[in-house]
Amino acid sequence: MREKTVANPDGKWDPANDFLLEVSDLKTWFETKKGLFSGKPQRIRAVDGVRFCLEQNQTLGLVGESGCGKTTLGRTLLGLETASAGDVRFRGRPLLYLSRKQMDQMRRHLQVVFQDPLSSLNPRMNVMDIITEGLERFGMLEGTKQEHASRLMAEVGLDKAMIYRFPHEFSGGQRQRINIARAVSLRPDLVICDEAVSALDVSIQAQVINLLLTLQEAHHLSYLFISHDLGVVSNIADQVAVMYLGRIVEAGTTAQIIGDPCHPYTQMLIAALPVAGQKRAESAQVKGETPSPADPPPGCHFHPRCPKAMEVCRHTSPDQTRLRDRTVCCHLYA
Amino acid sequence: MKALLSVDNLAIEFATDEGVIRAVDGVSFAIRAGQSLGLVGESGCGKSVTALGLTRLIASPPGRIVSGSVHFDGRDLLQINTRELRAVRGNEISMIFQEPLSALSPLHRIGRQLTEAIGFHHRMSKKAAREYAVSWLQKVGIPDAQSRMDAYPFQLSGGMQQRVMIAMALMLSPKLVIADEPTTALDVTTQAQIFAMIREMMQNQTSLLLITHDMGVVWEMCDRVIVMYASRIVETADIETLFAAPAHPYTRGLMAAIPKLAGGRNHLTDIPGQVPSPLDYPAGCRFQDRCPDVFDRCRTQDPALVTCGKDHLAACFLVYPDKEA
Repeated sequence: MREKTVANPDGKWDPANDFLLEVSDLKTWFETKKGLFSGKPQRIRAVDGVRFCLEQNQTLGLVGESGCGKTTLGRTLLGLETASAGDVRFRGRPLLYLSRKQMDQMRRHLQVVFQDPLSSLNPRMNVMDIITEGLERFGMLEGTKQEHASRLMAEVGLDKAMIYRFPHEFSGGQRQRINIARAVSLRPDLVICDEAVSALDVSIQAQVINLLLTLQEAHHLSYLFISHDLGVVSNIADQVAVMYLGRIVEAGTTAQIIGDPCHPYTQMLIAALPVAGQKRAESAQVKGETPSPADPPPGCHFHPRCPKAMEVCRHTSPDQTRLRDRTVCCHLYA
Repeated sequence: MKALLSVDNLAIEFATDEGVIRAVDGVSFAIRAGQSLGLVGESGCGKSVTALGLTRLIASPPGRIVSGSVHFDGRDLLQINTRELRAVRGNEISMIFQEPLSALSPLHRIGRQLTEAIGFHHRMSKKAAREYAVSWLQKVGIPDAQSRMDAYPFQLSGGMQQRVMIAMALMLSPKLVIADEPTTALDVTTQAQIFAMIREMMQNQTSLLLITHDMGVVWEMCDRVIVMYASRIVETADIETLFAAPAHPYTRGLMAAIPKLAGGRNHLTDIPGQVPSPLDYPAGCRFQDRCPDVFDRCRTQDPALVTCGKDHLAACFLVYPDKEA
């Protein structure tokens, strides 16, 4: 990853020299009551000390299995969960602990596309109202609502004739196009895509991935692309970060991570992918299940499932090590 | 070799507010003993309805099996009475569904659900049934099986719930297992474990009908594949042939659209357009509007499945012997 200057605190942000998004040591913990009568609360460390940077016009793919904290991380950045500790700078300014008003202003630059395209659209609003709501809110309408909405619909490949239709009248792929139109309508800097193509059929999924790539080229967007699907992520991300139980265990360029995974967990994830037309290596054995984030194993969280676990892994948590232009958290490389 | 299951010209309709939908339209196929057949296609293509129709699990109304026959081990499942059918279901044909949590009863302990199924089909003492169920939980890799018998489904992880489903589906040594997207809700690492286990458990004794949208999964699990599009079969071949030389433009498009591991931003080959509505299928080939190779004949005539290689059939005028005509 290229070194950039840390954004200065006065809020002067220079896209050419500064990172768009800097996440340092972010923690999002949840407290839960264990049972009705046991008073001792349980702490779930959903996001536990995450650090990464994202440049403008770049895509970071965040991959991991269910429960690894990738969605909580995205929701924390959006202000939908409260961070417990850490610092996030977006466009050179702090993003955490903002007042509602401040966050409202920030949302112009920070948008989201969720997994379920239907439940994230208001069923009582037609397409035109849905995709121009933000534009009206920020006074960014150009021309009439109809004109602006038609332009956006053309941009995401929707038929303009459908401008007065309601979400339930569209197919899954078209609904996700509506969500994308709404997300890019304000010309944001960053769009967080949380499993945005996971619910779509393969042929439609490919269409939507291509649309995201085209929009990125046209508007210099950055994406934080959260997905469990390494195949999808590898076709859209410039950088990949692999998360396991709240921590990033390996991060680097997509080509490095896919072509030469270092962390045993990344290796396991890649080996587990069924690849059509290719016989799986017999050695690709996966063992165990992801432990509960409420009760992670001591030391390296991955050690009970790791084929290369050593004595040190059982009690000491590995630090981040730089290795051939990537970072990896594993005692093998310490 | 005689087929264990042979489905002939199956058609299933659903009555909706907007009209009658033909969800399965003239589907025929066969599975031999020990064979594993994949039924692939995108959502709404009729693959799940086909699977449910085989064991008459379609709610009627709104559903209705319009025509066809389903011969299984010498009987027509569409003709036998309910009592005979219940003896087949769960015993000779078992099912694994996508959502283990909604397929298992939330109110009963795992052990009770397993032993109930055993008791329904076999004469066995309660104690023996329990021991048998525990031995199967161990076989499917559930640690501490004895105490898990007393757990409720919600107390297990998704992967563990699916293992319970698999134990339940396989423990009575069925002749055929129908698995409808059995791993779609699971992580890839869990999926790999589940598949390795199903393969081992089946040991070439049991036939498998695997319904999935995932070509990678079919490749790992099946000997033969059927591709469905818009309620019909468009291509069928053995697994190597289908992947090496797909004949139907839809199959080719589907294979090209699967994201392969790449090293960064990469535009994928997509299939333009969308699946036609079952209320409004076009005349002629149903893939015509999305097909890169469409020509006049496709818009007026329906292509039937024709042989285009050894055990390889496709419903496309491009492979018709008289295509010049």
